[in-house]
Amino acid sequence: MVTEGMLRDAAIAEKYELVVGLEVHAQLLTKTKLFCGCELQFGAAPNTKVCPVCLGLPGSLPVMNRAAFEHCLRIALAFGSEIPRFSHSDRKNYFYPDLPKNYQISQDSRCLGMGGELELIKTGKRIRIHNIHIEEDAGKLIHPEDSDRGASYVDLNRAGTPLAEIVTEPDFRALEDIEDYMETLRALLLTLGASDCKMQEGSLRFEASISIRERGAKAFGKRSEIKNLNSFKAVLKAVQFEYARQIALIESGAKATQETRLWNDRFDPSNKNDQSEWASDLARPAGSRHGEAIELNAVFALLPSDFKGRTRVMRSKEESADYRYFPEPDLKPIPISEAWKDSLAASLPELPGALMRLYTAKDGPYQLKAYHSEILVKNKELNSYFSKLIELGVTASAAANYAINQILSLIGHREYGIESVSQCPVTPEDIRSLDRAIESGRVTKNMGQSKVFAAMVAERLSGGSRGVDEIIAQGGFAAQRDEGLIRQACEEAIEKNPRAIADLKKGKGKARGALVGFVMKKTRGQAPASLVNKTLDELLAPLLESK
Amino acid sequence: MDSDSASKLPWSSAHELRDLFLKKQISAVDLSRTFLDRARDKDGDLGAFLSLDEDFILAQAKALDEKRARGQELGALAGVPITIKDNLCVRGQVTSAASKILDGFVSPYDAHVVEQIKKADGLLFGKSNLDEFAMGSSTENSGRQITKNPWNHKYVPGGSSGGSAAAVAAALLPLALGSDTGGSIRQPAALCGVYGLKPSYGRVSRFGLLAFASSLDQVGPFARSPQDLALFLEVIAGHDRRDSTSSSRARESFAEKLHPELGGLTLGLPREFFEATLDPEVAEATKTAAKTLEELGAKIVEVSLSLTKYAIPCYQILSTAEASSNLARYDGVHYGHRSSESADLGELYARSRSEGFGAEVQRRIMLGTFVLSTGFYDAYYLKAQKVRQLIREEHEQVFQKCDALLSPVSPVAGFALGERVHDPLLMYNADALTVSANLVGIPGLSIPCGFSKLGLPIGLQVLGPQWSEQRLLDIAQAYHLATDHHRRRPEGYGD
Repeated sequence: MVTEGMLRDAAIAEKYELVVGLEVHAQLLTKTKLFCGCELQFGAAPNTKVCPVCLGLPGSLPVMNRAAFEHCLRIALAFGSEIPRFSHSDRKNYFYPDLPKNYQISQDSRCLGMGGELELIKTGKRIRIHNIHIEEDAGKLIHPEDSDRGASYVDLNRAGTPLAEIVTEPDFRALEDIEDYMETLRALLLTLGASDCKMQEGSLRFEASISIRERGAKAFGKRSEIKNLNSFKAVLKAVQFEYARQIALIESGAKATQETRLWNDRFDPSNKNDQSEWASDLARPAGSRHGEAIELNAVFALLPSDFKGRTRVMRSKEESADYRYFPEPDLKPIPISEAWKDSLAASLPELPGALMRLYTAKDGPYQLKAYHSEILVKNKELNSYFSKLIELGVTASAAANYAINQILSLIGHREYGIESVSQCPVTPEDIRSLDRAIESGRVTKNMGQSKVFAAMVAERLSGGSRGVDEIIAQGGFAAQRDEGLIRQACEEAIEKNPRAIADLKKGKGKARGALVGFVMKKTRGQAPASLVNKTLDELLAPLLESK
Repeated sequence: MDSDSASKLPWSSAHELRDLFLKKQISAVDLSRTFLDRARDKDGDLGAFLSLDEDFILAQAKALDEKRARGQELGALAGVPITIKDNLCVRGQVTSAASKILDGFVSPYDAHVVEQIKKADGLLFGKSNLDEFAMGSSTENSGRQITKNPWNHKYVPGGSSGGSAAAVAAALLPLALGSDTGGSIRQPAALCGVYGLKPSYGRVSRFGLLAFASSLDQVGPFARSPQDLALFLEVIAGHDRRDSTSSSRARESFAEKLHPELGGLTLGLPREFFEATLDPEVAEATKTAAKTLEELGAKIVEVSLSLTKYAIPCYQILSTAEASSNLARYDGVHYGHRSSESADLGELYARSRSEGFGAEVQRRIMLGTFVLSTGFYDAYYLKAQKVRQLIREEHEQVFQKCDALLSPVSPVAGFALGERVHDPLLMYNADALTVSANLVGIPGLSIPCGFSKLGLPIGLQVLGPQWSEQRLLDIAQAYHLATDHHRRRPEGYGD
């Protein structure tokens, strides 16, 4: 299935199949770097979180961070990857100023995990994993705009940050699946506690390899690899762009070449400067740095009219570096015993895809709506809040409602200043009490979930310890149980809403809402809806029958 | 201290110097001054030291005297001056690996072995010359200066730890640290007539050793007696969590356990090692030494190590491959020499490295880059790894038949300055008998066992299975006590 609306012309999209594989660099959540004891701290002053090891000073040696290694191993186990008996590190050799040793310690062929799969949350599809391996990050180059003589600076705080690189097979055919995969992977990493997945801090970075082929063809086309994708949106847009560019290229009679490209989301095809950038790229040999083989218009004519952004050639396959991988002699192979694997595997939580299946199963213990289930699966803290409610005996659908409608709505609310579920001052026990108050009819559902809940949040935020029942009693929120009063209010509603009655007589069932609203207003929301409905039924029956 | 005892100091052993210091017969400051005077007197011509920071030395000595005055407990090397091969980091001191590429580089940290010496109250006494980045067998590849052989100034001291070997042989100090990747401790020890030990791979931490070939490099001691060698090894050996390849074996008291008893030991003479020996004088001296050991109670057997001829090519591939990567960090960007004439980044790298590295280092970087390249990796690097494994297995088998191996260290008793420096292949052959130990990871000890007709020292190599350092030291001690070669002193240094 090709994603709807990817191209203007559905027919041409029908002709070419999109083939995508993803590489994800996930920063592993550890206190210290991969090979030294330097603290990991985003945003620290340049070159203040460094030591001889991560600076690559002469004579320094790496030592593997066990916590990072275990994170990576847990991810591999979650994928069901094949785990080798020994994990070997390799050196990837290339020169760049942000890489202090001029080689990166990574894993080439003998990765921590080979094969495996990830079950997607939304569709349940299984994306095959090619491998997962552990490696160190490079530092960062800083090019100040006001620098005279074009000087650049190097900040090595990030050098040696532990990363897991997760490489999929080229299994994606549609943008929805790519998005689903990215979201599922993020949920997995968060669930495992293996990464904080903070996109804005670069904790999760993507590379996509994209090719096209005529639908039905067996052989893959030549792929382009897009680097520099730092958000889900960038990944999706870059894939969309490449799909169009490669189609335009093939349709023009040219061939796609294997090349590495960078994504630039600021490119605007209607901007003069950007147009001339493209024009000058056309003048360069195709596949060479910045060389382009197809007209701007040919590409953008395929894309939706408001599309912005482009990929640009960084280097061709011929120019690509020979990384001269070889076994890292400074690190001994790390034995991975069955016992170690087993104990890590035993500690794995329910994985996103499986959890989604469990929550939504029609004859299962939860039977949640897909929409609710997805929110819970993607939010580890909320999910554990939900789980506590279940443990406390709240029914699944009610627990999901409380978690999503009450608790989640507090997060990021300007008034409360609560930034995460873990900071939520209302405990699952509070919610259980509230739920019991509602279930037993002491407070109406409506009142309980709005005013009582708000009063409870205020109570807890101010450090108060009053329980739900006290809050209900003292706030005057208790349900109106005087059937006489309710009957009186219902009679008044019928009397004062002749139009609604007229509508009801015409069969417009919706008109009933006006009557209920009147009663609720009259009783300050304290009338139990069931009682109101029952009373209205009784009172309306003779009126409607007389028609 | 009178001038007579001062003149005896240089030829004193580390044990003797420590005892003099502990018994308060000499202060560390006086002792340092005596050795500084001697260095000033002798080293101008010899060229063993690359740097000798007098203030740094005297500050250590003063602190040590104060420690002694406070009655604090003093370490195993208290008051003993020790020079450090200049590919080992000493905090606050220039560390150059005798390369221009490290111009102006001052290490901000101590190598593990340097920390150990400090803990043992040894006196860090200058940095010694070497072949640039330890690549060479004559110290002529130093980017800084030539070091001469104290026994004959026209001859090389060997290499790459030539400065350390020459300094100990000339009694500029009793102990020196070296590193051995293919013979760089044992060969200069042999050529300079001192004891030198390459420990088992993993025995001594490499943290702070400027890597040449990580899987082969090992730090080790030079001394003029097996006793001193054992004492020094004891101090520097042991696990260091900063080096993943360092062994977690418990520390051993080598000096205390020194037991010069050869009864029951079987020593093997590998046939192929003698075939590779070019100089009949060297073969003769080695066989005579074997006879002496036999008379001392050892059983001598002939054994075969048929893969010996593959050791040099295997070593050349693996060591240069690792070196090409290890030396990539010297790029002019972060520290050291940066070319002043580069227009862009690519040129900055190329020029800085072309200007900073000497010819031999460049040759090895290129060779190593080549053997790791796509299309050649399997034919060279991978095959060499397989050969290395076979050589390992063959050594394991031969150590089923004997407790240690005896051979010459160097195929020749020595060679003149300038004689081989323009013939790399001939120079590489200097390692023919020593590289196997590095490939296999076993310890090797060089023992002075005689002199050539020209008066150049000849070294006997004893190789043992992994972790057999104590046995090698015992053999050396037995030989030392039974022979007089070590009593000879080079002319002009004997006083």
